[in-house]
Amino acid sequence: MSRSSVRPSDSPVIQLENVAADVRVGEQWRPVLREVSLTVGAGEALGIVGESGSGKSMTARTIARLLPPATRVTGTVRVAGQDVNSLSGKSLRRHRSLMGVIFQDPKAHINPVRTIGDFMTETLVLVDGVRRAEALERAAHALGDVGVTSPERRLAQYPHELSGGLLQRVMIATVLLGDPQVILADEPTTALDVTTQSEVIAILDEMRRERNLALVFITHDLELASAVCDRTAVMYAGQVVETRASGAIHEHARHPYTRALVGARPTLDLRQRRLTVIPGRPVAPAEAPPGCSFHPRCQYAKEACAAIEPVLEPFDNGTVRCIRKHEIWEPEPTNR
Amino acid sequence: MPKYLFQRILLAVAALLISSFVVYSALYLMPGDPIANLTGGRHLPPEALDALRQRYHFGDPFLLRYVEWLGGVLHFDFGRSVIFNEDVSSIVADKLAVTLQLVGYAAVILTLLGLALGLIAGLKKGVTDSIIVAVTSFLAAVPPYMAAIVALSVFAVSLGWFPAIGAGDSGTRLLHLTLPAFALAASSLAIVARVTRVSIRAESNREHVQTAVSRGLPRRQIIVRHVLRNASVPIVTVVGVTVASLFAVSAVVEQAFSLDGLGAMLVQAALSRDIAVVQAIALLYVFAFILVNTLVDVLYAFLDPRLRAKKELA
Amino acid sequence: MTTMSITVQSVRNRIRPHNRGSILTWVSIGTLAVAVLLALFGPLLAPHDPNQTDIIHAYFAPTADHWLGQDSQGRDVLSRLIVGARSSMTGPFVVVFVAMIVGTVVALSAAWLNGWVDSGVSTLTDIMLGFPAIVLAVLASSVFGPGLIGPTIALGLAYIPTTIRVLRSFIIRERAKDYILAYEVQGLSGLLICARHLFPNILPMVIAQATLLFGYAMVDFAAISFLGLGVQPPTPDWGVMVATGQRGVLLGYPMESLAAGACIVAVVLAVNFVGQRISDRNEP
Repeated sequence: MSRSSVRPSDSPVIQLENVAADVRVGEQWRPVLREVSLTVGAGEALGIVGESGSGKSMTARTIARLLPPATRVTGTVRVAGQDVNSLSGKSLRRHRSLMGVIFQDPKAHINPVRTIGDFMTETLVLVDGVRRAEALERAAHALGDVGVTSPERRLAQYPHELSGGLLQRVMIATVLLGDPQVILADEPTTALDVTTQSEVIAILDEMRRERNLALVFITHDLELASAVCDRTAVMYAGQVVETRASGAIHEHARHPYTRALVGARPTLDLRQRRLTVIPGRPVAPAEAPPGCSFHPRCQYAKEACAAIEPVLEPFDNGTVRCIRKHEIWEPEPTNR
Repeated sequence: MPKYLFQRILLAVAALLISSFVVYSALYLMPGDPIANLTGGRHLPPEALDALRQRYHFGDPFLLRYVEWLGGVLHFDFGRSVIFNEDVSSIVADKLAVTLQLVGYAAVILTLLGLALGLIAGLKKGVTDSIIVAVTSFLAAVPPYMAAIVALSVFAVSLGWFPAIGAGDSGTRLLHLTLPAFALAASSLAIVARVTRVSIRAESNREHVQTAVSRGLPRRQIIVRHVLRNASVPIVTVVGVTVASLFAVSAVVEQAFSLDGLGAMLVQAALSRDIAVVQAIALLYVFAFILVNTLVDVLYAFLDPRLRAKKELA
Repeated sequence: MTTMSITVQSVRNRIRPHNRGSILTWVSIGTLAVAVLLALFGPLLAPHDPNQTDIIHAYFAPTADHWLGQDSQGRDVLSRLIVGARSSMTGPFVVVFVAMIVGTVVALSAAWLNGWVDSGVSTLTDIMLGFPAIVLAVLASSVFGPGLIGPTIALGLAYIPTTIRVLRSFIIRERAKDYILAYEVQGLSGLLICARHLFPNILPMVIAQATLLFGYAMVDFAAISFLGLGVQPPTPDWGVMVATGQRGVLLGYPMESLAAGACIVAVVLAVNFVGQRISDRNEP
């Protein structure tokens, strides 16, 4: 029995427009998101990349509305046409159950005193009213889908008996059980070793394609995002500074920050060159300087950059937030 | 799981044996002639003294006497009281009922009220929470006999809502035991509430609760299945420990309210050097303590599978 | 915790001021100071002779001459309270002192020597913990007769396992730290390391534990005296006064019991609070 309604493939499943979020600390409101605008279509995978504090996790949370207490959100957040911010109570719960959230550390995110089977079938049994036996069957099936061997045995085990990689597969399987339209993956592989990482990513990718899901993949690793997702959005100081097709990001990144990120990573195919070092340190949204938030660290910065706040605009098959975009980039690819 | 249970019971039995040894030997290690201690210094004719010696096997080596006593205990024979010249078991039996009722009543109060207050404070924030914290902090510092005296003074004497003396007969038992039970439970209740509050708070902030929220589960389900369930281990510990120690403390409350229970008997026997009675009651208290603690440990294993694994490895 | 909550939390902590409850700390220290003073100089400070009876004025209400009124024998309640401080606090002090010394030595040895010494001590303490302090005290009273000696020995014995348990886990953590390892590598003997280096670092914890234990000891001692097995009337002692005042309570004159009880509660609260603060400060 599918919970989701008809999915139009042309209108975006997720839509964020000028979303800002503040958290109350003591007497003040501190911004954590300043200006985020994104779209994700059905069957599409969007990667959100940024350093700690850039607001990437927060963005995912606004989509699911899993925000810490004393947070206020402005702007439009739409999922499958529904305005998320206006939901409450039962409709909010319903909305949340339509989305699958995969968290970073599976060991911490699964209740340690209950069995895996219990964890997986909880929503089915309690919210959808499915009979426990049937729910367990479905769970075993889902485990098989993500490549877990002897699923019946796993269902009876406790989380502390399984490895991190296995637990993350369980998380994914559980998410898929709920037949979601959207999957939000918040650094799902950061806590795993590299081999397991690639396995888990492969599973996510396959499931996404098979079921035509919208996937939002959050990571600090630009390479990973480009490998997994169709498009990548880069965030800095609580703002989206660039969105671009993943294939194009390495050669054709148009925001100085993105270019610096690309350049800072050693790759196998380029000949030895100096790695880019970005001077200074990343800035929290609350500490952002006037004008462009990146300008103190930008090699292309001019006087105007400190005065004018750049807007995220379409540019060259993507979007960029930079007032100098027309001046900096020439038609051919930049320096090697 | 069975392995864990077995280990735990073994430990309990060991503790009981050692405790019984301590109880028994403490009184016989007393300075002076055991007979004199037994009779409390009263003078008896030589034949009577001889008979006593025979009866209590004072000629036998200490360990043998201990084993015999232990054997008797297992058959519920605690020997005879010198003072009352009756079997200790029959003397103790009636008092036991009163004490058990008092402790049971107090246990119920401290568990239900303590949990309730702790839950409310843990889940709600703001004024309600602050009030509960203040009240429980105060109560935790008031020892049972103090609570007993205050309760006696205010509710029994001044207001006259409750009887001040005695345990009443079967009809009025509940009424008579209410004040004592509350006095006994007061400080333990506060501790249970405190621990409950802290555990609930801690569990509510855990990541797996986030997961449940993200799946759209109703709040009540989340609280019961994830917060409470996981917080139960420290809560059960504290409830267990406090209930276990209620027995020993009940003596004081019994004294304050002139209840005819084990505690009063114990004090009287101690003052009159009625050894057999003291031994019997002390042993009962210790037994209750160990029993409750063992039950708590067993309950743990059901509540948290990780503990099972850890303890079995140890 | 999620990164978000950690961030928010750490920001909150930076903003929150540091001296919550400083008033309470001063009140507690003040209370303790008064109590100690009374214990040391009680008889000199009392306005009346605590043992002077005055039956005609039994149960009289407070007057200018007798601030807290008079008890069943007409004695001045206030004077008895003042003088009683000594009796009420000496026993607990001795108990705590003994328990602390023995407990610290055993805990240090167990944590340092490890192996079977440690497991032996742990198992033994686990078993001994199964013995309620009051039962031991009652047994001791039967053996030694009523008075201070029995309960003191009994409670001292009863508190040692708890002390060992608390200290041992703390010491084990401390022992694992690098600076101890450095001393070991240098070839210093175990005894020297324990005495000169380990001990000073656990001292705050020991003191915190001692204060908490003092509170428990006061309560237990008073309970034993209340039962009639400890200090005997007519000696002025807070626990005894709660007991002898019981008749007064039933007759509607609760002052003696309540005042004595209030003293006990006040000192215990103060001691607990100070102990809590010390251990909070030294939390790793």
